[in-house]
Amino acid sequence: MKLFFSLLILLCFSGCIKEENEIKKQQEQVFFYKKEIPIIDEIWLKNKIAKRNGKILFVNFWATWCVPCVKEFPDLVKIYNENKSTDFEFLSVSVDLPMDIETKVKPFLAEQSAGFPVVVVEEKRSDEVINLINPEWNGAVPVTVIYDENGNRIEFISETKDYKFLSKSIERIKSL
Amino acid sequence: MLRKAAIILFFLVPLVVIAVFAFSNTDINHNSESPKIKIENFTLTDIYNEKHSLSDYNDSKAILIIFIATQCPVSNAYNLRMVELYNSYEDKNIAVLGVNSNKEESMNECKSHAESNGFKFPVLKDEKNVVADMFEASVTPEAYLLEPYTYKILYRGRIDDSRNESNVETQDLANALNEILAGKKISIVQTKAFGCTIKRI
Repeated sequence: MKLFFSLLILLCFSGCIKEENEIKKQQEQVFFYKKEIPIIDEIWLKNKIAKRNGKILFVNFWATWCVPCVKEFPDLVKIYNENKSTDFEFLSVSVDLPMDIETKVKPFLAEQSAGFPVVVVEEKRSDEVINLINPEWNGAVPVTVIYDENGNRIEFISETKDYKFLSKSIERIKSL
Repeated sequence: MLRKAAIILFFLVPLVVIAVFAFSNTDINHNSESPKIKIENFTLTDIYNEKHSLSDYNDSKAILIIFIATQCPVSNAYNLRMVELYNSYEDKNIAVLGVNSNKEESMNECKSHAESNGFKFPVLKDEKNVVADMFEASVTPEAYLLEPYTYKILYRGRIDDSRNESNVETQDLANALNEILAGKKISIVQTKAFGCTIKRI
C-alpha cells in the first residue's frame, strides 16, 4: 500500500514537472517574440542574401491576412525545426504593416510556436523589395525563395507548397 | 600604321561603349519600363448580367481596369479609394472597370460586395481567368491603364503607396491619370505592392 502511494505521488510529481516544462517552453516562445521584429528594406535583404557563410537561405514571404500563407505556416515551422541545425538559414518575411507587428504578427507567431527569425518589410520599400527578389514577381503572397550557399536564387515558388515539396527542394539545393 | 589604328579605334570604341552600357546597368529602373503585354479586345459579363467589351470604351481618354477581390483584405482596404477614383475621373472621360478573376468569389458575392461598398463602376466577372491570363495579372488589387483602340498598357501597378490611407504619400495611379489628362508622358509606368494571389480555376 505504501509502495502504491509512493508511486502515485512520484507519478503526480513527474506530471507536474512535465507541465511546468511545457509552460516554461511556451513562455520562452512568447518571450522570443517580445523581442523586436526588425522592419527591413531591400538593402537589408540584399546583404542578407549575400552573406551566406556556406549556408543556403530559405525565405518565405507571408502575411497574417493571407489565407494560403496561414495554411502553409505549420509546414514552414516543421521545415525550420528539422533543418535549423544544418547548413540552412531560415528567414520569415512578413508583409503585414509594421503597425500590426504587436497586434497581429507576434500573436500569430506565438500561436504557431514559430522559432525562426521574422522581419517585416517597410511598406514604402515594397516595390524595391519585390524587384530585388524577382523582377517578374507582382507582389502576390505567399512566395518562397531558396538561395544556394553562394546567394544565387535557385527556387522561386509563387504558390502554396506542402512540406514534402519544400523538403525535396531544400535537399536538392543542399546537394548542389 | 596610323590609319590602321584609326580604323580599329573607329570600330572598337562604339563596341566598348555599347558593352559598358549593356553590362554596367544591372540595377534596371523597372518603374520606367513599359509592361510588354499584348492586350486584345475582350468581352465579360458584369454583376447585372450586362456585357462589356474593351471596344465599348474606345471613345474615352483611357481605360482603367482594376483587378479586385471580395475577400482580400488588401483589395478591401482600397474599396473607398476606388469609389473616389471613379468619382474623380469618370466625368473626365476615363472609363473605370473592376474585374474579379478569383475562382472562389461567385458572381452573387461580387454583386453584394460591389453594392455594399458603393461601387458605381461596372464589376466584371472573369469566370475562366481569360482576362487575368491575358493581362498576366496575379495579384489584387492591381490597376492597369490602357490606351483606347490599341489597348497598350500605359500604367500597371498599385493605386498608391500605402494600404493605410492616412500614410499615403504617392498616388501613383492618380498621377498617371493626371498626366494622361494633361497630355504628358507618364513618368512612372509600373509599380508593385504586396497583395493577395488571384486564385485561378
